Amino acid sequence: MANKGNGKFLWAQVCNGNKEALATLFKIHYSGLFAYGLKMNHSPDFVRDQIQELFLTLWQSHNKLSEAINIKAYLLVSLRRAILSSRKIKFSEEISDTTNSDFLVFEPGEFIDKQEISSKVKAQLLRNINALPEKQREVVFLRFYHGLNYREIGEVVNLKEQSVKNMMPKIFNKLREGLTGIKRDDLSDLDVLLFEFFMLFLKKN
Amino acid sequence: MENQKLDILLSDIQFQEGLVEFESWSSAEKKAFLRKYGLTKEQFIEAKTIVDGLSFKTREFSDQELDFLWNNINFEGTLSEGKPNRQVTLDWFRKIAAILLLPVIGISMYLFIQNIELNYFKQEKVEALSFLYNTVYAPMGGKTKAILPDGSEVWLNSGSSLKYPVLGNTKFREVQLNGEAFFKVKKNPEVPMFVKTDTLDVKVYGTSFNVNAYSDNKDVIVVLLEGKVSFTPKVRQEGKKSKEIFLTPGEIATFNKSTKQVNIAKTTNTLQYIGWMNGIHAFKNTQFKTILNRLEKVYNVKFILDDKKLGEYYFDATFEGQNIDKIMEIFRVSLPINWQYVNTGKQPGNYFGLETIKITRDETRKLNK
Repeated sequence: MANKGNGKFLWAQVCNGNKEALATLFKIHYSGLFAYGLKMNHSPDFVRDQIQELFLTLWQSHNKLSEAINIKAYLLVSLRRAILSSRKIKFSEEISDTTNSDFLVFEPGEFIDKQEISSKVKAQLLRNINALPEKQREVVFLRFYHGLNYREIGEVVNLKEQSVKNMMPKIFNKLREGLTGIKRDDLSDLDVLLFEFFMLFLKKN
Repeated sequence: MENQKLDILLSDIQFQEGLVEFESWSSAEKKAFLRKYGLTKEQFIEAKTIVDGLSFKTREFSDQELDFLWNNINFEGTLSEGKPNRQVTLDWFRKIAAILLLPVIGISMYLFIQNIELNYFKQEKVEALSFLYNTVYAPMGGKTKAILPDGSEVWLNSGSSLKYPVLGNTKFREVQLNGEAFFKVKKNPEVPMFVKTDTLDVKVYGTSFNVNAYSDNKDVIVVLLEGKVSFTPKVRQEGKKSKEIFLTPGEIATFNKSTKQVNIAKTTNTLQYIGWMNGIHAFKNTQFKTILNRLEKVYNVKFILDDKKLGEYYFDATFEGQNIDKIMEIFRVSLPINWQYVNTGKQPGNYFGLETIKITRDETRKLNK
């Protein structure tokens, strides 16, 4: 939260021509932008150049910028636009199927390896994520990597907040496919807690 | 129905955040959470597993890296506009180029006269001759300019060669490039020129552009300054032709030889790609190993990188006419390295042997002070 307020202040400074403030924003947001960019284009050099171009453009047009924006969503959407408008052509084995087939696909190494979740469950979850339509995968990434709320996600992917909200239960429904009967040893105290509820419930009646 | 309820609950941001923080809570807080949402144990575990499973690793950059990336942004405007064609300090480049140009002009003159005579020959004979090729080379460490029979101009970078038909044929213009060259192609919409390389073919409609296709580079780079070109990567595949990709001026296409992927982006920094013609070697945001690879060709030296990790550093530099010692000193100041010439058992009197420079990590220094 403190970070968000800070961002607003920095952004106002940028609009007033403070280059140091832009440098600070660059350093705060670089890793997030880089991760997002890499999900859309696999060349790190290319993504890096695009982020640098983005900040160069921001600086060149700083006196025309609007102060009332959500800075993180604004940066993400600007980078998204730049990368998607650059043309990327992959000469893979199947030339007919060149339309971003590996766009926003997730790999096991991208997630924190939680020991308490069995590898079978992890694999199933990853399959479920990658089986989502592209736009839903992007929403998942923006929500769980970048921590954007649904209004901000809407800004980035060009959807109404309500549309994103409506999308979410569908996403979770698909993510839960084939995930029944999960065992979690780390949540053993749950039994104790739930047992207390049960006793409470009995007393009330 | 129960299931739908869980989907809706999972969509609630507060609920998601609660699941993530759950472990860090006191048992009173945990109780309050469970009471609020009233889930069965199975539902709770399922929900928590999904949210836990969605925790991404984040890649963090060090302050040094971020400073470096920020400082690499070229705020001073485009390099290509600021500097007009300056007098090249390396005069000997020109001399070499001029010497190399002489046989080209000679051949052109000869062929021009031949051409007049040939007009009296039968058409078949002309066609037979049109398959004769000439090759022009630029020596390691030097550059060459060639004028092709059709009037197109070609600048060849160090160690490159260009094979072209000796006759300015009216039916096709096709040249084979090894290495890097800058082309100013005479306009002829009816007869496009083809620049062939190992990995891709460029189709030209009259224009100026640069092709960097050194065989030891991982990418082939085509930069278009003006006019129109298209290129077609050579993808080994049966029965299928790869796509023709058009470039507009100011665009740079990078074709990765191993992934077969092309990136096309606007560039404001054309000097980085064509500066070599005027003896300017500009690198923006370029890995040290890439720069060394380039300098090896320009200065005809060989580098030995003691610590491969050194090659990963990104670097920003413009060299214009400095000799290699001066350039190495610039590197030594900016990167934690030392350098020295090493003896590679060269025979005395062998002037043309490669100078070898060994680069070692200076353990006493860290990057960026």
